[in-house]
Parts: sequence; structure tokens; C-alpha cells
Amino acid sequence: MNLRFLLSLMAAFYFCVAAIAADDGIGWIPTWQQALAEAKQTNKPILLVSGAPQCGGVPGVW
Amino acid sequence: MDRRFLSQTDVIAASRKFVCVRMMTYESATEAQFLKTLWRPGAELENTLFAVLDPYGQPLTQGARGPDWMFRDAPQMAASLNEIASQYQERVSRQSLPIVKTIRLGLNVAACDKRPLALVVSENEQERVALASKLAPLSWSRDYIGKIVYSAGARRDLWEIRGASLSSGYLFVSPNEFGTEGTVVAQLAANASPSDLQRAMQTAISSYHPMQMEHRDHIRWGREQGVHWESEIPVSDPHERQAQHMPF
Repeated sequence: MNLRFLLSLMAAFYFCVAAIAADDGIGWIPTWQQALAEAKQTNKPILLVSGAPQCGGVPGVW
Repeated sequence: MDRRFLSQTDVIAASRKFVCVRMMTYESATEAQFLKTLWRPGAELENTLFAVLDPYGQPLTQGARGPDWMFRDAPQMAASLNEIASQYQERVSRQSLPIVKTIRLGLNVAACDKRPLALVVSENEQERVALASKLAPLSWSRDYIGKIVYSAGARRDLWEIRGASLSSGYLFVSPNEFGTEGTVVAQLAANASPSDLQRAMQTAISSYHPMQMEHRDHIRWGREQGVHWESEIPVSDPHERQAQHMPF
């Protein structure tokens, strides 16, 4: 196996891993107005969460 | 957010049958008024709230601080959600881009979620709407749903964003740990194709490597750095008010 082939194999593996890096999550709508309009249109029930995007005055954490 | 419930595979699967809304407590006076109607009558609004409602916004459950007040564990929550969803016949509809109302808040939410941020940028509101419509189908696609936070604004709103060099188009940004600044990892002009957008979304996801830090350590580090968040309306949660004066 030559070096170039091995490197391209490694690059392909890296790309595949990187391409699925982020784990699944809930698709949140960030405003009540948009969510209610969407729920009425789709007839889907609503899962509602509210959280402060800060703790002890420090942002970047729920 | 309660990762024991809201990050679990079966709950995420069940959530696809719902419209999922996550408001930012204390970041909108109007939403705060609505949230108070779901909470204990007469009580101050607290940091977190959880409820399930019908498609017209009528509560199906009482408001709670979180899903752990209502469900024993994630499988029970998923089963309950599936049961509720089975009572409604879903209609297909084109979904809009889920836009956080300001870039400042979008950066913060992205940092909280440990997700990259995508920005729709234009000086012109009409063009922003058109750009957002082009990105919306990808944002709700199976590969990208829940993996990126979105916001929109004009060039003058980008003062927390490093490396932005366009005034109309899309920016894909890695937020810093506190969501107070972000760095552009990809940018596309307004005429970007859906496949360009998809590549940029993939780049944004694969190039963002947030630090994993304990909650306490994050707050301690933030205080050492002098980072402080001013919410739009005053914080009314008594526990949170105490926390603001507690040493971490």
C-alpha cells in the first residue's frame, strides 16, 4: 500500500467522522410567536421550555 | 437545560412530533407575561419553565420547573409525548428558519447549547427574509435539525463577530465559551446555492470544539474574566438572585 493511498484513506475516514460530529438535538424555535403560528399551521402539540441563558450573571450556560 | 431528559435519543425522537419552543427567560417582557400564565398564580417567574400545550397554545399540563417535575425518567417522558402526539393529525407545512431575535442573544444561546451559530446578514429586511427562507429547509432537515443556532441582522450588528467581511449573505460562526464573541469559520454571499449552504453548515459543525466544563467552573471562570450578562428584564427567580451574590 503506498503512502499516498494510505493518506487519502485517512483523510476520507477523518471526513466521515467529522461529517457526523454533532449529536442530534431538539429543533427549538426561539420565540413563542413563531412557535404558536407553526403549531396552528401543522396541528402539532407544543413542547415548551423556557430557560435563562445565564447563571449567576454569567452567560454561556443554561 | 436538563440533559437527563432533553438530550436523550427517545425524547428527541418524540419531540419531532411536536412544535418545540424554547424561550429565553427574562429576554422578552411579552413572553415573560405569557410564561407567568403557565406558572403558579401570583408567583414570580423563575429561571426555567416546562409545559406541554395543544396546537392553539392551551396548556395540556401544569407548568413545572423542568421535565423532572413531571416524568420519572426520559423513557417515561418519551412515552407520554408519543401518547399526546398520537391525538393530533399533523398537517404538512413549510417551516420558517428558527431565528433568535438578536445576534447578541443568538451568540449566547449558541454557547449555552454548545452549537455553532449561523447568521443571515443584510442591510435590508426583505432580503434577510429571502435569505432565511433559502436556509430554512436545510435547518429542519434530518441531518441538521437542532445542530445549529440561527440569528439575523445587519452589518452594524456584527460587532461581536470576528472575521466577517460581507454585508449581505451568510456567516457561520464559532461562539466563545461565554457567547460574548464569535469567530467566522465560513461565509457565503447571498447567491449561495443550497449545496454551498450545506457544505458551510458541515464546516461550522465540524470545526466547532467547545470546552466541556462543569457548570460551577464555567461560572467561576466567567467571574474571574469579568464576564457579565444583562438580561432584558430583571431576573425574578429568588434562587438566581441569591446565586448572583454567591461565591463559586
